[in-house]
Order: sequence, then C-alpha cells, then structure tokens
Amino acid sequence: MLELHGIRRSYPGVAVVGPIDLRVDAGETVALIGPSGCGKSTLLRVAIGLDTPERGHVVFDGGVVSSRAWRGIRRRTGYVIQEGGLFPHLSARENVSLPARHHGMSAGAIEARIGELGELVRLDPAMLDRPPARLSGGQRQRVALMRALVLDPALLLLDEPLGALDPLIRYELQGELKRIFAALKKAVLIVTHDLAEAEYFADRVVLLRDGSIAQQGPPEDLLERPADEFVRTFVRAQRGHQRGEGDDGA
Amino acid sequence: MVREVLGRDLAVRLVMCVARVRGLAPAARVVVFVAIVVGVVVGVCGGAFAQGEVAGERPTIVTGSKQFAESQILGELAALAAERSGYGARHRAALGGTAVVWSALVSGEVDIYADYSGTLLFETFADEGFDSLEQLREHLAERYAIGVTAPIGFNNSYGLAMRESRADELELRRISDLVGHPELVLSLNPEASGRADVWPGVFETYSLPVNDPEVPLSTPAQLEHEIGYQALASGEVDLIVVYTTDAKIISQDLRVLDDDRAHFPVYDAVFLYRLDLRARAPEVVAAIEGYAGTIDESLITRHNAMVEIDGRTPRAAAAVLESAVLGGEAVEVREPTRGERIAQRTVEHLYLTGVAVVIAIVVAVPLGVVAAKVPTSGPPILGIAGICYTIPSLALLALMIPLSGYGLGLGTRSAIVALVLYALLPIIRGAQLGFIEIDPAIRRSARAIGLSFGARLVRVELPLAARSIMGGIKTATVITIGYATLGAFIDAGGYGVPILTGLRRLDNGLILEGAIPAAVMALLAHALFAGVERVVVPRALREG
Repeated sequence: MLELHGIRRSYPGVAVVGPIDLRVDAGETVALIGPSGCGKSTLLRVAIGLDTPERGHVVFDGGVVSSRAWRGIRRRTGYVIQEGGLFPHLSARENVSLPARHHGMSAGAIEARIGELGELVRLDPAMLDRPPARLSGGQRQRVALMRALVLDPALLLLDEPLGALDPLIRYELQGELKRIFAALKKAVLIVTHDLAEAEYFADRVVLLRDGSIAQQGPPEDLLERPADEFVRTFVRAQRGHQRGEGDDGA
Repeated sequence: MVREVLGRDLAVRLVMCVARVRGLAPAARVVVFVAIVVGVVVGVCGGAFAQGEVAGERPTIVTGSKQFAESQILGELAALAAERSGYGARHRAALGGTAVVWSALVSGEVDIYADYSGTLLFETFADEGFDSLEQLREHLAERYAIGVTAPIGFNNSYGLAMRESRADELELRRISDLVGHPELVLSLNPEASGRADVWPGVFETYSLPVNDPEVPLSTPAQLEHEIGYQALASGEVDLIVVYTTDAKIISQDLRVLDDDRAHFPVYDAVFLYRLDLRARAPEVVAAIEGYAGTIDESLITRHNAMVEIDGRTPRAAAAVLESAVLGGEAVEVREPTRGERIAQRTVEHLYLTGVAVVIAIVVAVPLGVVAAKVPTSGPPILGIAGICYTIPSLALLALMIPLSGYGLGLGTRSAIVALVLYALLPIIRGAQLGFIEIDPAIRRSARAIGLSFGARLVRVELPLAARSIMGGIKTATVITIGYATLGAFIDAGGYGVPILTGLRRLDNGLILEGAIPAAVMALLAHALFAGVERVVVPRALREG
C-alpha cells in the first residue's frame, strides 16, 4: 500500500533521517517507535507529502508519487496528529464534513457517513455541534479520527494519536482503536513512543534510532530477540523499574 | 447632487446596521453586511460619477483662498465676478496656506486667488530680492504665466493697536506718540516676534527703548494672536501687534496707531490669476482688474467682521461687498443652518473615510497575507507601509498638489489617496499577524486532509485570522476618521473645515462643531465593527 524508498531528510544543524526503507501492506498495522527526535514524525510527514525529502521516493498503491499527485494521495489517506489538529473555528460536524465537501461528496452522503462514523468511534451525537474547545481530549481524538475516515481512505497515518490523553482515557481509546483497525482492515502506520501500545496494536514494529531502523519485525522479536544493545536497553527502559528489580538474588 | 443623496443613503444604512445587528439571525447579518459593502461601492461609483458631471456645460473658473476670512471673501468675490460674466464658478476655499494655494495656481487647479504684495515679495519670492510689485509682476508672467492685478486698495500690514478709549485718554494717534509712555505693556504674536523687521525693527525706527528691564514698553509679552485680543480687551496689555484689517479692530473698538514713519512693509492685496484666463475668460480678468483701488481698509475690515464676528459665510460677505463696490442689489446668498452644515460635513467625512478604508482593505489584506506567507517579502512590505505611515500628514497632502496632471491635485481624490496610504500599515500588520499566529499543526492538518491552496485560505486561514484582520481594520478606520479632518487643507471637505476655521479664530463652538461629530463617528465605527465582527469572526473564536 505504502512504500518509502531510500528516504533521506536532514535539518540544518540538527538530526539526519535515513536513508530509510519502509513498507506498509494493505490490512497491516505497523507501529513506528523510538526515542523522541529519532525521525518518526518526519517519516510520517514525508509519507503524506507535508515534508519533502532530499532523496528517495514514496510509492503509493504501486505507483511512484510525483509532487503534483499529493492532493490525490491525501484524498485516499487519513491523517491524525497528537492534539487532533481540528480546526478551532468549526464545529465537530463541520470539521468532519470539510474534506468530504471539498472532495465533492453530497450533503446527504456526508450526513449518512457522519452517522456511521459516529457509531464506529462511539461519539455522543450531541457533541457534533460543539467546537473543539468544548470537547474533552478523548472526544477531540474521536472527531479527528472521524475526519480522517470520512473519505474512506485506504491508508491511515496516526502521529501519536493518544499521546496527549490521560492514562484512563488513553487505555479506553487504545481498546477502541484496536477494534476499529480490526473492523476496517486498512493499512495503518501509527507513530508512538510507547512500546506497550505498539505491541498492542501492531502486526509489525519498526524501532528507529537516530534516523535509521534499529530493528523491525513482529513485536515478540523485539522483546525476545533484540538485535543489539540499544534495542535491549530500549525494551528494558520501556518496561520500567519493577518491584524487586536489582535486589540481590532476585 | 447625486453624490450627496447616495452618501446620505449610505449613512442611513450604516446607522441601521449598528442599531439592529444584535437581534438578527446569522443569515440576515450576512445580508446586512453585504448591503454595507454594496452601499459603499455604490457611494464610490456615485461620487466618481458626480465629480465627472461638474465639469460639463460652460467653462468653469476656479478660485482659491487661504484659510482666513479675508482671503475667502476675496476668493468668493472673484467667483461672483466669474458668475456675473456668465461662467461657472467654483471656490476652493480655505486651502492650507500660501504654499498650497500658490502651487495649486501654478498647476492649474486654481485660476484666481488673492494674495498680498508683501507676502509675495518678502516671503514667497524673498530670494529674488525684488523691491517692487512691477518687478514681481514681470517675473511671475515670464516664469509661471501668472498675472498680478493692480492693488485692490487696502493694505493688510502689521500695526500697533490699542483700545480707542485708552488711546483717547492718553492722546495717542501715531506710533511716535508712544515715546512719552514707557509704562504701557505691549504683546507680540508669535509671527511678529519671529520677524526682526517687526520687532525690534519698529521700535528702532521710532527710537523707542528695547529690552530695558526697567521699562515695561521695551519688554513685550508674547501671546497667541487671538489671545492677545482677549488680553487687550481685559486690560492686561495696552498694546498689541495686529494685522490692519483684523475684524476685531471694529468689534473691539480699537485704534491702529498711525505708522507715521512708514516702517511696516506694504501688504497691498492683489489678485493673482493664470495668464491663460485672458484668452479663456477675458471678461473675468477685466472684472477682477476692475476692483483696483476700490476696497479700502475700513470696507474690507467691516466685511471681515461679518464673517469672523457675525458668523456669516464668506460668500454672503462677498455678495454684500460686491454690491457696495459695484452698486446694485447684493446677490442673495442662503446661509446654511448649523444642522445643514453638520449634515454636509458628515456626508463628506463619511465619503472620505469610507472610500479610503474600503480601498485600503482591498489592497492591504492581500499584502498582509503575502507578507506572512512569503517571509522574505515581509520586511519590504511593512517597511514601505511604515514609511507611508510616518510621513507627516500635512506634507503628504501637500505633495499631492503638484500631481494634478496625474488625477490628484486638490480635492477629495488626493485626500483619499493620502488616507489610504495611512491606513495600509495597521491593516497589513493585522493580517500578517493573524496568519503568522495560526498554529502550524492546524496548517498541516489543512494540507493533510487534501484542501487546495484556495480552500485552505478561505475555509481555514482567513476565518482563523479574521479577528486579527478586523482589529487592524478597526484601528485603521479610527485613525482615518481622525486624519480625514486634515482633508480640509486641500478642499476635500469633512469635519476638518469647521475645526480649522475654529482653530484660527479661537472659536471653541466651531471647533466642537467638527470635533464632536468626528468623535461620535469614531464611536459609531467601533460599534459598527463590533457588529461586523459578529458576522465575519467564527462564533467558536469569539468566546475565547
């Protein structure tokens, strides 16, 4: 569905990303994980043309994406960021319908689609007429997901979608997202810094370190067969300190 | 006039909008907003149409004048002469000083105005070193194709004046009589004290004491011209420097001491006119030449008093003066009431401000967007707008006058151009800030959901920047309402007309006649924008 080939992107005086190859197949959920600043969000932006790499190219649904084709690609891609990126001047309903209207969906079809998606993400319909400022963090992410799904995209790009939520809501939404991914069977590329979350969602985990891939594979591989010391340390750090750890003879 | 009717209609619409907008449904508000925009646009077109109309039919002679009553009376007198000879006439009254009206004459914006031999010889053309009107006349004809008539008859020079009763008491008739009265207190106006030929020149000519701390007469006070008259009336000073045709000489019963050693320079009133008038309107040239030697000091002073003291219009005074000189009935002149004057000024002021702000919005909002979107364009755009903003306003207006060949010159259009230049900076800045302050995550989202450049601008960025843009427009409008009062300097009308006249005459009533409506207009503009904001700023953004 999505392939990144030899992507390289540098920022003056800061980090260099790549060269990196990455693919996400239809129906597959891939988690991009790594310490902050390792280039996860950059890769996601490259994948939707919000950032232009110095080298490499993006292949979408089998075709190399030219610089003019991005609007077509975006129509077929849903994108959700940490705080949702909802437009503060529009109600939840208007946020969801804006891309649909822009791409020519009829008003009736949009209404039906909003009803459908509202049920899928379990958003209280009364919330639809509120502006984002009057929604909770969890509700905002549900609306952002509705907006990303309104055009029934083939690919979902999620950049720390649950990163700003408190633990209870986050826990609840993780369950919902997993259910939604399973129901939709789309290609999903999700960026997270939380190994447990990656493990929970993903068929495949890609661990980045300083702009290149340290290890990728099914979640168990990283846990059981870490490729190097960095992966081992990262996994251990993610597990956190546990009671009894470090005691003599434990 | 078409323009007036449209302007009034526009005013009514604006007021209605302010009164009602609170209770309206959103859709109706949009309709009201559109009505305002349409009203303004129609006003603009109507104004342009009406301006074009004036020129038609018979040739029109344009007369000009400076700000004081005497100059305006003479401007009207020349206009009456043109009308009597069968021409159309237009008087561009109260232009901002000698430099403005002179350049208007040279550039052809004005055909005739009255000035003084002394002003031309010792101020405007002082560098040429002429010592007679004849030399000046030859020079102006050759160099500028400007003609100078023979003196009209009165000499409006400097003089020393005191109350008639006090002068009688002390038996003072001539300046030389002051020798025996060192106890008198003299006051100079700022202009007189800045000219060595007036002070201490006059005292030296008459061998009077200068700067002797023991002698009151030798150490004059300094009071503004009009305040000097008040101090003379209250007895705080005994003697002031006056212009010899000041209206107050009559109204305050003053005696101008005879300049028996002919110290003060002569300021004979003359008409200046474009020499091409001899071909275009020979009867008019003959008529103004015909005034030579016909109006003496006491006659012009009485008519100055009609305007300055009795509050009649310069045109009415000129009509009476004309019949006094030529015989026959005075042309009937209807004096507008205070209400009519304010209504007229309001229409003019609304027109100036409204057109200027609309043009400024159309120009400045896109510039602000460009300044925000193309970072390298920001400094030059804001720099140029900043320069426009900091040019002194009077200088900017004066710079328009020589541009009459490019459709500017005197009048409303130039004032609007100047006002637009002033209004650019706050609007550009507001738009630029509004765009810069949009959260980058929001911009990314707008691109990521596949919106085109235009859709991002219209659906996302403009609504989010609306509040900041409106803030800039609001500031620009209030500034423009204030600056538009300066339009009076170049015959653009508006509330500046009574303010400037009032300032010169120290007449608080007249100043307030312009200042209060201007303040009210600024307040109404604020209320109007509160209404417009409800229409254009998305509701979700208004609560925060």
